[in-house]
Amino acid sequence: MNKFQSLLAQTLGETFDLKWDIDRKGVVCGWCKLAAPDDILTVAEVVAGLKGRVLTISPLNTPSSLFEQVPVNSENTEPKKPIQVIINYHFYFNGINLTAAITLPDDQRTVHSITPTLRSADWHEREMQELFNIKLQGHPNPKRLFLDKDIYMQDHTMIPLSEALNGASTNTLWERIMESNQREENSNE
Amino acid sequence: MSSYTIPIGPVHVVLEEPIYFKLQVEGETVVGLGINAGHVHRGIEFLTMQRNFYQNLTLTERVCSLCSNNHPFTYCMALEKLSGIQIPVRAEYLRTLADEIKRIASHLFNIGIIPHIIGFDSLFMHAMEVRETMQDLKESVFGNRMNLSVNTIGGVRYDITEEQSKYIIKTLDNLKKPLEEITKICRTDASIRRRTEGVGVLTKDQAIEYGVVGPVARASGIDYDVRVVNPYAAYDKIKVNSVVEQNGDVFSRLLVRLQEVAESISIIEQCLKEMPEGPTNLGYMPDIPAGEAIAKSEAPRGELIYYVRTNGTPIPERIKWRVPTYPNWAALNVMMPGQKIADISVIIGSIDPCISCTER
Repeated sequence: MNKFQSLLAQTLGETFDLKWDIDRKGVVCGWCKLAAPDDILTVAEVVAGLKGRVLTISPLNTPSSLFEQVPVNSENTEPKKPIQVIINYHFYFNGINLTAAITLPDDQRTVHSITPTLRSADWHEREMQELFNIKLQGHPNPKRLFLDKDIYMQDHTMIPLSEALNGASTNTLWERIMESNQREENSNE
Repeated sequence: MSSYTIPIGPVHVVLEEPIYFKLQVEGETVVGLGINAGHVHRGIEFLTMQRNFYQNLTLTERVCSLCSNNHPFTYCMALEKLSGIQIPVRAEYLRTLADEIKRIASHLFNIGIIPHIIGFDSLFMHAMEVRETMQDLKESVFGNRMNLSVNTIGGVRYDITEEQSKYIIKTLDNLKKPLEEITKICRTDASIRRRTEGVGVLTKDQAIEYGVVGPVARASGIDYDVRVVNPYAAYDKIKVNSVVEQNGDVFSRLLVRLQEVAESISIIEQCLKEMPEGPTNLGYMPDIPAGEAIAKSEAPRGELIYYVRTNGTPIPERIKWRVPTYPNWAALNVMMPGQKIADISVIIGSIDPCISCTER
């Protein structure tokens, strides 16, 4: 724990906020809030140096965009808070689970990829790219993982992707059938 | 030699679940691999953010079938950690018990599938017959063959009687002899060894690099089992040995699973022997405060992690889970190149992939 903290402090100084909690079974979880989004690269390097890996990456929109669907009282017309993107990176090294959180500035949905440093981040980053429309800088293989490249993405596409795929294929198929029918009709005339 | 790309899937690759591989081959040898997922993505993470904490118990159990118990289990642990709830000790043992029963059934399934893929169907049927006793056991004790629905926030929803405990011990005793037989066949049969030894090798360094988990990691010499390293439920009170093999091939993965079944039997026996009397849950439905937490457990396929973030409402702000198969897919990029086309399905089968888990 202390080793990680001192390694991180060497590069980042005292800009980050790090808390540890140890549960009754002795499982250690660290919660780290980073000041700038690019600091995640430093964390990734420290974790890679400790032979660690990425457990997962959980991006989230806050306040959740889903709550906006609930009708709001008309009297309650506060200016809407812009949706912020928080990305939690969960790492594992030396028996410790660490969550490092970065908050993207408003209107920005781009992060530096940590896959060149930690290969285990590969699929998680590509999933984040598809489900949350977060662009990756410097990812070695930023190809789509789930969706076809022609399918348009929103900022929070957590709907069933299979539905998007089915929709696309059925439409295309239907259009082709209609086209060929049209051609047949024309030739009959 | 000509090189070309062959598509494998998306329908019925190894199991009845869709995933799509594009293999670059030269002659009969694989040189490259592209994986395309997403065919059965159901958006369950999205759904959990629209349902309350108790509805999500039912929903998370349906992410997967073979490791269905681990999902609500880990989800409950994350919420309990977040709310500072300490569950009764008997509930910890009962959770462990249900989980190990599911693990035996899941491992036996894969132990049967590997011989099936290489055409040794009599052993497949033997393994499935043995597995059937575990299915019966689940049905008798929990009422269901797959989804046990035993977990709730603050404990479990079942209890076992003295009679049921004796029945479980007897069933497991009957399992030991056929399990030894299957293990012996797997270890010694020439046709199994020819098709699995040295096939789909993942070295220890590569396993660390790709961050693989579960039997795939342990077969490559990584001694990482969540039950031992980051204990939860009753695993801190029970003797758990993690099974590690060194060769990192399909054969080693098969051996790890075989030995883990024996280990699970021993864990269940310890549970039944040491389980204290007492309540099995809190007796009320706790409110969940605002906060965030992570919880991990060792599912049959490896480490499962849940991240939960709440905001004081009965609906979670974000739930994210990473299933054990997820990091194991990318390791196929290392296991496949250099292998023959005929070995592809046995290599895919050896990571015991769960596609419904991957897609969520």
